Amino acid sequence: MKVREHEFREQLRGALGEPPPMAGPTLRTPEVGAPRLHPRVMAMVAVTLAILLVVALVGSRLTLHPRGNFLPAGTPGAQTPAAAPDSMPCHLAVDFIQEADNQGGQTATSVTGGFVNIPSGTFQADPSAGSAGGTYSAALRRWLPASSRSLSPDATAYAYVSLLPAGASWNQATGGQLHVVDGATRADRKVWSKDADVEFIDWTSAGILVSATPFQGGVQVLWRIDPTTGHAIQAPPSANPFHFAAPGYPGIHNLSYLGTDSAGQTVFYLGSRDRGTKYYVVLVDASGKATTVYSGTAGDSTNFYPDGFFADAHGIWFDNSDGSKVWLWTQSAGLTGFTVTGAPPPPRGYQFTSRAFMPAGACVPGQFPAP
Amino acid sequence: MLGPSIGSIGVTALGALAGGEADQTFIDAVAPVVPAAQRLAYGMLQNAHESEDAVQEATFKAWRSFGRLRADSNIQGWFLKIVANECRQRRRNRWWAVLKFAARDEESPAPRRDDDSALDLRSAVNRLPPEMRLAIVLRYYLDLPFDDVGRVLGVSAPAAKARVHRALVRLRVDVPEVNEGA
Repeated sequence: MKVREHEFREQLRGALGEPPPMAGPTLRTPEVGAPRLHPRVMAMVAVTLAILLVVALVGSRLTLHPRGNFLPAGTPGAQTPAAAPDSMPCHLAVDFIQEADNQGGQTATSVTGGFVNIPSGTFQADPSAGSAGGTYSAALRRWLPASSRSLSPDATAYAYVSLLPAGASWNQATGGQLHVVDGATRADRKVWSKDADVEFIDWTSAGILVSATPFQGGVQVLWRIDPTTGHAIQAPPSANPFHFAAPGYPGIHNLSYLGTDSAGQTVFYLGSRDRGTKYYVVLVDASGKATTVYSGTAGDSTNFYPDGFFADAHGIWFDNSDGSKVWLWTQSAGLTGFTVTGAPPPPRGYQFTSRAFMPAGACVPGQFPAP
Repeated sequence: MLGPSIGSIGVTALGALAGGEADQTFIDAVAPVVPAAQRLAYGMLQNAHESEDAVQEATFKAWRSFGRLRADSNIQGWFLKIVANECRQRRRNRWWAVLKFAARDEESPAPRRDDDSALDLRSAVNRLPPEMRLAIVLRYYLDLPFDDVGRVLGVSAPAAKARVHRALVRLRVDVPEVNEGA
């Protein structure tokens, strides 16, 4: 299609639309702008427990040996526990996330909680996951309405932050409160509060890490909180896992934070997706030591492009942004890809859909549904 | 070029920032760039609430790092780069995207064309890798010259032009002005 620049500009503006009026950025403007629905509220969207279906026996037992695509191991050094010999086959908890661009231009998103059987790669939705997915607690055998980052290290509880006073919008809030919810009893316990904008960061064996920034602006302070006693100690800025400080990755100007697991291991994607450009997926352990999980060239045949991960006794499980695979990385074997089949069909009437199987819990021994 | 309503709202709100405790220098520097920042965020995220949040968060980050900015720095390039990084981070984090989209499906769509060609172009732009999408948005949605596109992308003007060219090739659009020297 040959067009002049000004013609393409008009076409693009027509396609994307003009931005609607937006409230301007503030550090604290209670009188200005409409109250906003705070995104953290949505972290408390309850997962509705559905009827657990007992389904028929499925096909023959799978081999005990993975048969995915093997790639060379990355740089040695990460502290990833080796998988027990009898831990395969297993079923990996995932949120199947599907985004579709509809005729009206709104992005329609659906989440289906379920399991990918490893090593066969077959996906099965779990009716008990409800309509919003969440994170699967193998310890409780239950889906919890939380992101994997907010899960306790033993996967029996999760944390969230609410605004104070209760029911306040962000523009009205005077503080933030950290809650811990028992996954088994759903008892909600208020653990700690601060007269600042409190953001949950992660929950590791060292405690719950939050940031507190004065509503009026100023220095952000990190706090490490004991989830049992609520005792808080100030953490150094270097405790913030968003910061990537590892040397040895020259020429990299972009990075994305993929998450932190309960052992304090953080994964970053370094580089862009421009075809032909170098990129790295890097694991940084709690001591700051970096391990290259994968280094490649965007558009290469491996096509390893993760958005998130979940670490368990097998290693680190990653999604692939095109929804084609899940990956297992271990220090000894490197990356193993498992092609996923059985995804729900894309919704009809959409020209573009994006899908991914985001790891949302451990890979539990056995297959799903159980024979 | 930029909607006057967006500009006035953005500047007014930032001007009310934190009352007497605000750093007036920061406000004076960033306020004029807010409309472009909002436009960039909307071009990248296609969701007004998400764009507001992205610009809000980027403003906090800019505030915190403002003291380290050199006096002769290009404020627009610096601030738009922070906004672009924030947008990129949000697009990559699917989990939060799910939560936000689920919370905000009452949002009314922005006025835009919905004929087949517009829908095709919107879908194609959405499929672009983030760096290409950013280049296209900066050049054709914000009307920035290649020098300024390069500042945000962190590359030279010729490299920015080359990136725009590659994105146009990906979109199967042939723009003669960009082909020259790209």
